[in-house]
Amino acid sequence: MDSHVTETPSDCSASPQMGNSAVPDASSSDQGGACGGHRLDAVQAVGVVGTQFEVVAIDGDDAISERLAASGLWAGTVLEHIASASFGGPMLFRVHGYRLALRRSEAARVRVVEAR
Amino acid sequence: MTSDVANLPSVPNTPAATRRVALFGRANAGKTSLLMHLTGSLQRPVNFPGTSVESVQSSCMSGDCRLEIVDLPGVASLRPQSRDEQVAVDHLRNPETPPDLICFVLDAGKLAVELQLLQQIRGLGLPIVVAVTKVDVAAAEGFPIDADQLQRALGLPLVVVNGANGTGVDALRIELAMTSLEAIKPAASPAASPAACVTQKRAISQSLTDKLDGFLLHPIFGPVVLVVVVLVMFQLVFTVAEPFMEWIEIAQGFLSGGIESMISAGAVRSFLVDGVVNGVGSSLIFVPQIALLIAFVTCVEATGYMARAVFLLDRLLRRFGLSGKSFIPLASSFACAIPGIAASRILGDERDRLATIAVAPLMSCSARLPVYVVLLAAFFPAYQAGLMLFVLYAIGIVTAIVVSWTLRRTVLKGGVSMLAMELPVYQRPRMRLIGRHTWFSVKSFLVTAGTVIFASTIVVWALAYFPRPAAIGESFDSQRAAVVQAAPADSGDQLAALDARQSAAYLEQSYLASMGHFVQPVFEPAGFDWRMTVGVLAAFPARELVIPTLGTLYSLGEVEASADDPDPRLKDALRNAKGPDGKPTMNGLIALAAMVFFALCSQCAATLAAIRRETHSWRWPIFTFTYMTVLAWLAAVAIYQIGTMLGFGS
Repeated sequence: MDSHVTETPSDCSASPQMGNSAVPDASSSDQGGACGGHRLDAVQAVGVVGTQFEVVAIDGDDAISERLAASGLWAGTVLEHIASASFGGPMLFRVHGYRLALRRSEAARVRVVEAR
Repeated sequence: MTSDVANLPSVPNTPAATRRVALFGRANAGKTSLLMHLTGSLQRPVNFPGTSVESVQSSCMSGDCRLEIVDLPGVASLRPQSRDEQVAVDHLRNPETPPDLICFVLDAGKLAVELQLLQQIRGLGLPIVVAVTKVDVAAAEGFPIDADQLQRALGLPLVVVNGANGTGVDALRIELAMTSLEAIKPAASPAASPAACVTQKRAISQSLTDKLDGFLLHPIFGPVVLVVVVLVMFQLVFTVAEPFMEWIEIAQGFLSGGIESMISAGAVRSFLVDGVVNGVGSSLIFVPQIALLIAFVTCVEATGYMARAVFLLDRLLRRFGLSGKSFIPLASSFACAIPGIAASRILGDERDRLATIAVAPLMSCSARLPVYVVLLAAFFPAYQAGLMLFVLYAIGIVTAIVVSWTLRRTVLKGGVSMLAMELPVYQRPRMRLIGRHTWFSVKSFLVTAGTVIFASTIVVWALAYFPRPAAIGESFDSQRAAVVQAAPADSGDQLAALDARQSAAYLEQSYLASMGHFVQPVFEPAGFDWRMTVGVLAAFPARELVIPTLGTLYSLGEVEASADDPDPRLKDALRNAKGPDGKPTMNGLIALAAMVFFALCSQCAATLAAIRRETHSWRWPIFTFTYMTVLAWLAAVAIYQIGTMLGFGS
């Protein structure tokens, strides 16, 4: 992970455990806390293609968060950053073997830690 | 599993039965091509470009069992978030006629996500047959799957199929006909662990799609390629379609000639030639352009590039209150707004969708092109015409931006807009599928041409033809007799001139002219004379009527303009037209005002009908019609008034 990653105050009000996959051992993340981690959109990795992240939680429980979960973003999912559109456009990630485009505002709901 | 099923005898356990099968799965799972292979053909159109926005039904036999298969729109979860998804979920949950079984189309390329959806579907209790597609794609992407392992883990009938060549489809058909219709129990524990069936670690470093994306989604090259693709699209529409359009013109001329030689002059002949052949022909002429554009858009979509265009444009279109996904309906609207408006269904957010629908008719469609071409050729030198054409398209686009921006900040404020979409793996487009999509779109256009445009043409023709005062006929008959008497040998030219003047005289007396004179004050500030006003009025049902109407009005009989070679006679007539005071009634400035008017005005009943259909209310078609017409009038008046002030009016 590059130096642009910023720590964001975590809002744990709503972070449902989506899907049926195993809940990762969140306490093992170096950020600590049950739903800590970075906001995915803060990962300014335009030039750093191939960086991998692990989802810790999804913030919010509205339609967008639901769609993110239905797209395969649940705790423990590994994301690989593939590309970012210029001028603050969407970001592209590899999730479960397919390519998922997310707006920055959508990525902002995904809390991740760097995958080991 | 696949091979086992294929070896079973194809005798269903319930002979002569009918099974209603719902083809269900995520978007891009390959449902539509699977249905094509299952049944051999599509019986009802698949609306492009969401590929399966309407439930498409088709049937086939498997032994004695008849399978009625519905292709449902792709869904992400059982909690629908767009109109498309609602249709699919409603079909499964329909309490009266639920499907007998679900054929769950599982894209092997994203197994973990698919299994989550499958888990939800199991909860419905309906029997499920799993069709695994894109096994080759999964392998190429570095995630090969073990189908036998997956089948054991799921405990459901499972068949591996190939949507590209149809391998495994026979086995699937048999499985659908033979599988037990007993309700299944939802799995108590999490179903299959994807980890057991997939090589989690990627076997290859970069797939072909990764390499292509490295270039096509590049921050600099990506937008450049996108611009090139759009330019190629326009080039196709404006140049490649040309010879085909000329053929249609020739056929039309041949038909008119045939009718003229068989039927003597009078109301019947005029009705057939001017009303039927020229009226309908003037819209048929756009079929090549529409077909090419739809084929191109479908092709771009089938390769997987359209999703990349959405990705690249999302940020830009967001600023204008639209979504990246709006690009697909708006791009199709350059051919014709009707498929464009239907394509807006792919937009998940209702407000994004309504804003897209409201501005789609502002994209200069192929029916506006002939108007531009004729007026540009008449009043602008060739070196300016190209630039002016670009400006006219740009005016439509800029207006669309302003309107959508305004809408999203006023009546369509808020909403939950989202992108969160899959960028599919690049694929070679399947020509058969593209051919079908194109044909169905052209067919629906032909139906429109055969009904709405045809009916309106007849009305315009009748208004321009009647009444026919006997006095005019008698007066011209006596003039003709005088000419023949004076110089019987070379009276041909003079007689032709008299014929033209006679039809002009009739026209001056027609109901249409009375209407033109009556409405004329409205368009006076834009510099239009009554004939242009009538052209504008006649074009409200369909703008395809402008050129035939102007042709009739400038007493030329049949006038047809192709994209490249507008009828020189109409061009000259427009340039030479003089008012009662002897001054020219048209000039470059008025032509520009008229073109901008046509660029912005809502002159297409079929488009308004499509908006009504897609929004389920009269509010949006009325709103679209009103704002476009008012904007068009204001723009035309502004151009004429300001231009005159600056001295361009002479």
